[in-house]
Amino acid sequence: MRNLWMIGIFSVGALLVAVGVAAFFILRTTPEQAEVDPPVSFPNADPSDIRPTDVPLVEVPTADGGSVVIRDFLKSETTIEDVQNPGVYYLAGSPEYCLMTDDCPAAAELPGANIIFNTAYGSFTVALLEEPLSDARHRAEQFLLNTLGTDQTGLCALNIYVGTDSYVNDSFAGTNLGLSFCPGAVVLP
Amino acid sequence: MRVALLPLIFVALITFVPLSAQAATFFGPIVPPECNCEDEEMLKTGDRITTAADWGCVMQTVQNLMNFAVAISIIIIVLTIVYAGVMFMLSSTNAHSREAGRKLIGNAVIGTLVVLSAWLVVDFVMKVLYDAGPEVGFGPWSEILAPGGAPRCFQASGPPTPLPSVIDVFTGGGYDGPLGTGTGACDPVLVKAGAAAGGYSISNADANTLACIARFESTCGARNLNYRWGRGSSAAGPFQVLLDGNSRAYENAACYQAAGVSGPLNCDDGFRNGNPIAGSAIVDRCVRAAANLNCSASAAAYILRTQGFGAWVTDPNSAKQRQCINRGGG
Repeated sequence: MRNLWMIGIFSVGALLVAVGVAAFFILRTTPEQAEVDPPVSFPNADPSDIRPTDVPLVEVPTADGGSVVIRDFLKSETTIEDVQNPGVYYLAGSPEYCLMTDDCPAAAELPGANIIFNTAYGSFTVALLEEPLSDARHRAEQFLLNTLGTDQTGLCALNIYVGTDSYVNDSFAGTNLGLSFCPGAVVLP
Repeated sequence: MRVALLPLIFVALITFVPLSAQAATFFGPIVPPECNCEDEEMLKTGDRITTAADWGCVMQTVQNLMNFAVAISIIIIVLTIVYAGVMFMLSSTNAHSREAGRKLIGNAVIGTLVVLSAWLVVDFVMKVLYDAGPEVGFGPWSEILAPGGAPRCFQASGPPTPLPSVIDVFTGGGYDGPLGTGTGACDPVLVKAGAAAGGYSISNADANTLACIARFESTCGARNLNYRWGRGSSAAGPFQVLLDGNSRAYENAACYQAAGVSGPLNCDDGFRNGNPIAGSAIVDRCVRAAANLNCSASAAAYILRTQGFGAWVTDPNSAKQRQCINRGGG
């Protein structure tokens, strides 16, 4: 009788331990991992307006050392590579030379400005080619907004140099005029 | 009897403690693999460089330690109960042994409840302290701040800033960078390398000055032809060296390669009174060559050697080029 009682205690104890072990392993199991959004690594732009589409995207560095995802302008039909300077692409304007095949490459037409991208630096350069500079800059801004598929905040985060040369305007030559809607932009007459 | 338990505990420790190291085990590693922030594969993931484990890693590690301790406890408890049961059954005639076995089993059961309760209490308390909300429910409390799949490493904002090049770049005044503009003609390192491609060795100071000049001449190479091209000017390239009047400047290996020719370019043959002859193949190949940074830098180096920096200040709109030259000591 006593043996049966002890066997009963032993069985209950073993059962309790088994239940405890099962409960522990069930509870310690990581819950079904919810779909976690990828880390936000592009703090300055909201590419949501271009995400739903199947437009190819590209990550480019920002001026503060981060990066931003924008429309892949390098795959645009109007973007051309500057074959004389590998790694340089014209988004708008022309390098103004002709190849040996007599083909004279030209990117998207943009009156008064050349826009190039240098992959080595991850930087855009907007060369304003004619007066009035404010109009040329405005057209370049609209072009960049449309081509890169980002908003003004996104553009301001990019590494963009907007300048002109001495022969167009000696006063503003060499100065980064910036984009008109970005902090620190030079107000043009 | 307690002494008899020691071998069991010893065996259990020897068996399971090494498994708590980094290698994947039944319990998983104490330090999660995703917290190994120096992992080579993670370093290859892009230009954001991982740095150090974050707070989520600390909590996950604590959670893993707790899980490991509980698991070990349960194993010890099971072994204890088995031992007690065996002792109880094999010593049915010895009342003292039976009593000891019974006591051992009771303690084991109580220990089990204490261990599991402690795990639940910690889980509950942490969730209350962190105000995790009702949607969290049961589960490892470390999930509150470090859900599965979330990044577990601090991330640097970008690659380290490269060390300054051997060339000291002007700062302030009319030239404050940036170097990474246009085709690279404002980068003294590339200017010096470009000149070398044409067979010219220029000093760092001269490379600085030329890079400065390119900013005002062509927006660092973003404009190839002068605004008066075809109206008396044959200036081309980042440094706006005349294709007509300074034709000899383009007679170098870098320009031949850029133009796709093996011999002299004779650029002046394509111009009349400074204006390009319409349809001239010579003009085409010379303009093509001038657009190349190596060719243009070589041509500029030739001008520098034969005429000095004064060649860039003959135009009335060259005050800023003069600033570059003055700062460079030219």
